[in-house]
Amino acid sequence: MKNEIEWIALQLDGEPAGPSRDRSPAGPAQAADRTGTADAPDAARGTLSFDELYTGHAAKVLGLLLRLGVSQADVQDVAQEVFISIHAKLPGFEWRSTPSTWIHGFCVRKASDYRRKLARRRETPMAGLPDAADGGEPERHLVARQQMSLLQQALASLPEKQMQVFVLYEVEQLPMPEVAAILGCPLFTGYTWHSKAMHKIESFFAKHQRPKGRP
Amino acid sequence: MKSAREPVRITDARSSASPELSAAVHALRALHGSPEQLDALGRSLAPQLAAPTFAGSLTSGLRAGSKWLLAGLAAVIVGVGTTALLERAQAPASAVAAPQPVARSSLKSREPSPPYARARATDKPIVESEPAAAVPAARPRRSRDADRRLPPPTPAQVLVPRPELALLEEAHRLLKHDPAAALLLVEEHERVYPGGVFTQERELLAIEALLGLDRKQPAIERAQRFVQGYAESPHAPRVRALLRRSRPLGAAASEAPR
Repeated sequence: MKNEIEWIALQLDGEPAGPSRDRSPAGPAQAADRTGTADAPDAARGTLSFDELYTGHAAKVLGLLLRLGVSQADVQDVAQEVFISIHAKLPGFEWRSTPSTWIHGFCVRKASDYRRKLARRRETPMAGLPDAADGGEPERHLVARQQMSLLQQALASLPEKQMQVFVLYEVEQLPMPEVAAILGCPLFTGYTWHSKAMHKIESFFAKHQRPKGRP
Repeated sequence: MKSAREPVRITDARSSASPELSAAVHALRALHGSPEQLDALGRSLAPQLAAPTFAGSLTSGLRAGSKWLLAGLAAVIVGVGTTALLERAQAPASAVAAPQPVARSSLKSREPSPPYARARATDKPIVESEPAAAVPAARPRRSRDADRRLPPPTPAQVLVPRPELALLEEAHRLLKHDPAAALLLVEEHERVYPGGVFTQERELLAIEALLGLDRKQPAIERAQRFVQGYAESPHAPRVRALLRRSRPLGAAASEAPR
């Protein structure tokens, strides 16, 4: 009977039933499975709703878009585009990556589209600043704002992929295999882009920090 | 899994990056959207949030293997199946009764606005209870986790019929891991939509659920009825295959007519 059920499962899903089934590779998102960063247990697979995704990730999406260079003025619109895309694609989501990795991919692409549109309009993105509620005295807050502004300028000067790797790895602190999965690049390429981004950002800081530095 | 080659992060104490750069990364990490932006985003996504959609609810679960089953369902989703639905509705009178108008009208209130009609096809099964029901007060809307742990509703609980497609979709999802629950849903479909558009798909799911429960005899009987009633159905070859595999070898010769 077990064989029969497996056979039926094979007919329905094209893969054997059972907990040890090995999903066939299907694109870069597969790498995320190997990272072991699944943010949903197997038991919950197949039952994730848009409502749950929105509730669990709305704030993270807003933050990630801001870190990827979307301005405070536009972040809500871009986030809306992200979630509309997620809503449209969710029925086809096959758990080949974690929902988190999947959503990061939408954010990266939409932020990339945004950058391109902005470039066509020849506008300068003005990413937001941390809320005053983040704590700390005003002067320290001001210094943090200046340093973050400098980093944002440095990021804006980078080639897109290098900027994305830097944000995902250094700021979001995702493991590099997951970063590579999100960007759809080989792992080694991810390391290369990160290395180049680091070099350029450190140079940018070395060049701009000293003149603006306080005595 | 963390690769051994992972570079040291700027915010790591071992990093050789300048304190300014480290502080800048910390500041960027603290950047987030405001509560007002979050509220506005929620308002702007109200149509999507009101039209429940589920991961792998259709195109993964069904497309993955059961292509004929998908073909029937996908036709509805993309809206090109109108003609097919009409034809299916007029299918063998012996097996198909008129759809229940009560069921249709009760679903009307859940119809999303036209731009989001596509999501309607993957609507979550409705398990709400009418106020008059014996079941206590309505659950909070967000308790989806609790919903998942609940067993399939008993017939008495289902006062608002679930959309036909959602019922079968849920049954298909449960088929592998909980064929008993899948069979309950199939029976619910049979009761609520005796002449539904997806009668053939329902029968296929019923046969598979019965096989999953090792109830071979009812499965075989149902499969025989299917191949007799829907000899030309695109599902017929699959049902025949199931039938062949379910029967003892000696009985294979007396297979139902093709």
